[in-house]
Amino acid sequence: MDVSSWPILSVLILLPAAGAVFIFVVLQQNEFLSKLLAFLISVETVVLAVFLFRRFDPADGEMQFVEKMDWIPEFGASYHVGVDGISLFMVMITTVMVTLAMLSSWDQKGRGQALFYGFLLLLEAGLIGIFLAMDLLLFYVFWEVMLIPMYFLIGVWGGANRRYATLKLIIYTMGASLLMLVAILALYFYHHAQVGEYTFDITKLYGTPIPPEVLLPMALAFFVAFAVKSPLFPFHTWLTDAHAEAPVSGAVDITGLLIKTGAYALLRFLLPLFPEFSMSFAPIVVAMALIANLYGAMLAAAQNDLKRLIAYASVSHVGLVILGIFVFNVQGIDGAVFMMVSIALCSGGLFMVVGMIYKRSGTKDISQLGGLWKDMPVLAGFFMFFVVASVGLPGLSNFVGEFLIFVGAFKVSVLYGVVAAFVMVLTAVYLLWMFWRVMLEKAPERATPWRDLSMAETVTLTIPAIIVVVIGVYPKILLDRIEPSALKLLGQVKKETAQMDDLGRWKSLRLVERLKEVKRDKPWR
Amino acid sequence: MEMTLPFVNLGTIMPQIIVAFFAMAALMVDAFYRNTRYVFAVSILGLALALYAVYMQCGLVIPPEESMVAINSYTVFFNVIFLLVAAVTMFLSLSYADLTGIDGGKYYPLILLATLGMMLLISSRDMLLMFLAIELLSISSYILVASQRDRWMSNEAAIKYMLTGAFASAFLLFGIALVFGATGTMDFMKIKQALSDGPVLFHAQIGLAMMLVGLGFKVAMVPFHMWAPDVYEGAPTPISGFLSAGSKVAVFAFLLRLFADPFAVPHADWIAVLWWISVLSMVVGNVSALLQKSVKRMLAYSSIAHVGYMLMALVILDTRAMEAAVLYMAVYAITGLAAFGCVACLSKGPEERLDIQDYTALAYSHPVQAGVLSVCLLSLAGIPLTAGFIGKFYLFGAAVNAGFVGLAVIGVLNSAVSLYYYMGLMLKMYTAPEGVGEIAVTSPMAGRLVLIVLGLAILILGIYPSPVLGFVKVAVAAIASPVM
Repeated sequence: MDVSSWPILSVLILLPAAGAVFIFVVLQQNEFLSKLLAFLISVETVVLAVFLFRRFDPADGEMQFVEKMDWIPEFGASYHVGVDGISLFMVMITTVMVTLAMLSSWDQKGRGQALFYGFLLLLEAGLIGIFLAMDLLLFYVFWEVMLIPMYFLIGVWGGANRRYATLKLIIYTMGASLLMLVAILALYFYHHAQVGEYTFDITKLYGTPIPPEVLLPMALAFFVAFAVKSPLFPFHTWLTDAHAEAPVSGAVDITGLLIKTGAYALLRFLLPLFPEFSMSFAPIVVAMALIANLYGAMLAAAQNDLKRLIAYASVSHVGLVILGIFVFNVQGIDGAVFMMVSIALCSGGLFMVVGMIYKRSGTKDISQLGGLWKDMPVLAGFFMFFVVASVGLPGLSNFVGEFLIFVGAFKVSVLYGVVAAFVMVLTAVYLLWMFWRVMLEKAPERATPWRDLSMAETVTLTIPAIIVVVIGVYPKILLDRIEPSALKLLGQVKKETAQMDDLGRWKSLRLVERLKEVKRDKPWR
Repeated sequence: MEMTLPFVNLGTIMPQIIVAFFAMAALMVDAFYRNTRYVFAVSILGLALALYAVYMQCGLVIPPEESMVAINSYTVFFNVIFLLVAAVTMFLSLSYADLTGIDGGKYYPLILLATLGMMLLISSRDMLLMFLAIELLSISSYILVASQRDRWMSNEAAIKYMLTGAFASAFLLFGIALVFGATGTMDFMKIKQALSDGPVLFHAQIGLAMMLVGLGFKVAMVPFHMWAPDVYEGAPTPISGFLSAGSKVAVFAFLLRLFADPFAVPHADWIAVLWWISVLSMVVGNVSALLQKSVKRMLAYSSIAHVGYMLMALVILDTRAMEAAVLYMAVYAITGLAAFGCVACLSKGPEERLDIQDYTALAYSHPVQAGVLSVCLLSLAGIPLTAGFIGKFYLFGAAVNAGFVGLAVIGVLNSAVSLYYYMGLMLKMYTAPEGVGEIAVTSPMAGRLVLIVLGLAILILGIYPSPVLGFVKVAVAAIASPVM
């Protein structure tokens, strides 16, 4: 099969979407066929992603494989997708994790399984779309559309308290992103006021001077939308509920919630669109990130529900990612992107193990578990592996990401580095303590021992484990490709900030004058 | 005494004549054959011919001096919508009427007459014609609401509708009288001149206010919305859809014209009032919809909220906002109609599913209806890739562009609130059934087919709206006089 001439990025988005539509329309009644189709499609996307990886030019920090055509010319919106070193690995990890999600929920019972797989495919299409979109409107479309399958996956197949969890998810994320829509529109019109062209193309919107009086609300709208999705410290409360109520097989946890669209969007949109804001508010954001890091770890230590514990652990890790982004040096950003990939694998692995424990025991409550090592040595081995990977054992993937972020943080301020390194110790404490409580502590009496992992389950867990080892031992595969894009991003941010100081400020002042004139004509505003 | 008959150009009102003729013909068919299928066929034929006649009017512009009836791309655009809405309502009623004991012989001709009212209203250039059109529309609607004679709710709704409607008509008429008194003419163009020449007389202002109140009743904007939930709940479901998609859109489209094209109500005086009405409609509609247990009431309150969104355009009233409003109305016509249509097609025998609890796990027994209803709800909520998103996006864009950022923010926050009840209903439908699921009842083909077409239309409009945007731009260009 010669795929070199295909519009490969569009295929990556459209294939899962088409599969989902096909399942909804044709295969709704046939559970096995839809499961099979969904799985095959997700495997196909992995193949395509690997192909993309091989054709990707590591030396080039620009967008590659760019496809562009008019979408709604009346609005100046275009179908514009492209991939660079930052989004490449996001796409790859998405395809891998979705495939794993399907494997891990393969023997899930209950009605409506066909729809379950349809929604998973839709989620995949939305996620890949987010990572590839180069047009703000297109990005916004994927950003919102992705929520619908997530809402259904938790709302229909979730736990007992799912209504509350879905409501919280929708209100937090939608509310924030709708405010972002207003900011997007404002940006769009400011750009038109300056250049005279209506466009949503981010490459053209970069560096649009924005009057200082509205800069703060606009940038905040973007920032809050991304921070909610990430989730960053004060906006994180929806995440643990969503994880706690998500379907127990862990399928949704590892796809929708763990692939950090929010942190990615900070990198791709907030930093280059609002460089001045990003630079000047960096200390506050870093403070929030450090609080998230510490506070997430402390809360995780106090949890009695396995899923909530891992969810808080991921809040803590995301704090680290955001720290890496907002120290504004190449190590920090490299580390952040690497860390996003690594969290998806390690926490995803943990979630899958928890799902498998739940399948046997019917509980996620740590106090009712214990002594599992005796019954299930293989499962315990995998659990141990993902725990130490999350803790940051050298040679495994999390270590590389954390190390790079620490280097970046120390370069800026010793304090940042010290706090983050301290939390790393705390992480080891609560994760290993959890492992001890679940696996080693004296077991309550059980009538029949729980069965160890099946063949399929072993394979499901082996795949992420191998990737964790490979990129942990040889991170150069990722870092080589991330670095040019990260450098380019940093150059862009710093250049624009410098420009804003002279030319841009003058321009935006003129715009303020004009706005004031308009305001005088129309007093009711 | 010599009397000259004015030259009558029947071509200008050909579509209206066709609709009126076929309404009468259908009534005759009913009188002589008493077969509702024939009545249905005659009515649909009438709509098809009228649609063709409207199509022939494309590109035609009648100078305002010549006629009480305007023809421009704006009227053509909306006439097409009204005719399609009427046709869809009829198809959706086809099985519903048989099931619920509606006398189809009068029902279909009345839909035609109501459509005639809408078509005349949108193209009227004269206050008298405007009033006649609104009365024709309203009176046909009262009877349509009451057409389930055996159902208590239906009759109650009709009485409520008629009482408030009569009240509104009185306001409207008195307003017309005052404006006539102040300007001495019924013709919109001349009124415009009179209003723009000198200082606006106080009683002309009062008259305009009363006209707005009257029209406000008809479109159910807050605080004149009280009748809407009861009427929408009690009316036969396809008629609820017809009222929200047809008559509400018609009156609103006329309202937009009233501010823009011939009349040019001095807009600046009204911005503050309209701003508050818009915000209140959004808030009251959405918050009340949150509390509803009945799906039809929920949709009714949501339609009030949507009037609030459309009113944003009246506050802003520049070209972009008018385009947004026209697009929004078109989108809302499709979506509202389809949503009520799904409810109609989900009825079990003569019983309708009203309670939200009745929708549990419907996706597994009625996949088509549930699917289309989900698309409608997503569109009403303004989720991307549906027509509703494009409408809202355009509207909020217009608001931000004109500097009404506060209004846009209130609008998006309201959208976030509305997600709760739209998505809640969707979730109910897709909840996996406990125990034995409901056995699928095959509903008639015609209704389902129409629903599928509407659902696809919503999605296509959401994914590739360019062609429709082109039409909308042309339509607005016809009425957009420099307002600012």
